[in-house]
Amino acid sequence: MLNRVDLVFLALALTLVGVGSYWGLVVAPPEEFMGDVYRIIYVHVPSGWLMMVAYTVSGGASFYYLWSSSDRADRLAEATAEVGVVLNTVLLISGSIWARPTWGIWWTWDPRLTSAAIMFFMYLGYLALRAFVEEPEKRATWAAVVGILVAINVPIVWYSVKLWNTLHQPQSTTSSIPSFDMKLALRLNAFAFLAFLVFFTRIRMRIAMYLRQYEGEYNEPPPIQAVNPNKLAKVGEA
Amino acid sequence: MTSLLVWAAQAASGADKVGMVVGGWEYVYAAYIVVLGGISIYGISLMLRLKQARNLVSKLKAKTSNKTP
Repeated sequence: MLNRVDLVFLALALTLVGVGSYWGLVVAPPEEFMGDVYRIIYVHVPSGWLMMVAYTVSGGASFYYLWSSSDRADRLAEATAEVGVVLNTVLLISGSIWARPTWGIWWTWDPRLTSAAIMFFMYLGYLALRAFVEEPEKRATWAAVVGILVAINVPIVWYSVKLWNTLHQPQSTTSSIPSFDMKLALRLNAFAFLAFLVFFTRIRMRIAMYLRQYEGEYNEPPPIQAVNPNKLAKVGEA
Repeated sequence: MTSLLVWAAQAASGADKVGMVVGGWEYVYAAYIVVLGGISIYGISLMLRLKQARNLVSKLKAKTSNKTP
């Protein structure tokens, strides 16, 4: 089911996230003002970085699809958008958990938080569009157009802390972090999340490939919800 | 008097700077559980979906090859 390259990325991701989490929770010192709560940065920020990478790749792949009609580009756009939504979800929740002890609130309609939440719902809409359009070519074209439009939100989220007055701290980069151990924990987890992103994207693209094969054969959407083999057999007979 | 008490509380808890958030490990653990748990659940769901999609296509292939004379 998994080939050697998949296993390499999975092993890399698990090793790096294990070491990175240990470094972040045990080795790295508490921050000057936020104390131990600051350790949330080591999972929150990599989620945000890789979410933006995923959405940017999705936007780029959507653009490439419109230019080339490549099925691989369509599958890449779909896969990275889905992984991006997962990272966006954990980003919003971990950010909310971090906000409670530092700002005293779970949520505020701050530009960074609001733009990240809007992006989450836009990409949910993108995935919903893909799920509702049955004809493969029409779905890929419409999704590519929407994929480019929603990717415009990525730089808005990134620059939101500069463009507007915000409670959120400035863009987190490793150069803005004072201690070597803090930087190392952040970098290890960022590379771990990158390995997870590549691994998940590869698997998700393969799932899409199988489902496209089904569509190509039967000219109808695949029974994605079917779990038991009897149900699969019935659909196959149709 | 109040500031002396605040100082004493901070000194006792290990916080050496005024304004430093003290404690909060429960938030740290919660955030790690959410992020790493979320990623793990998604990974497991992907593996299940991959298996399901593969089964679907292999069933189709078997059906097609049976129909072919």
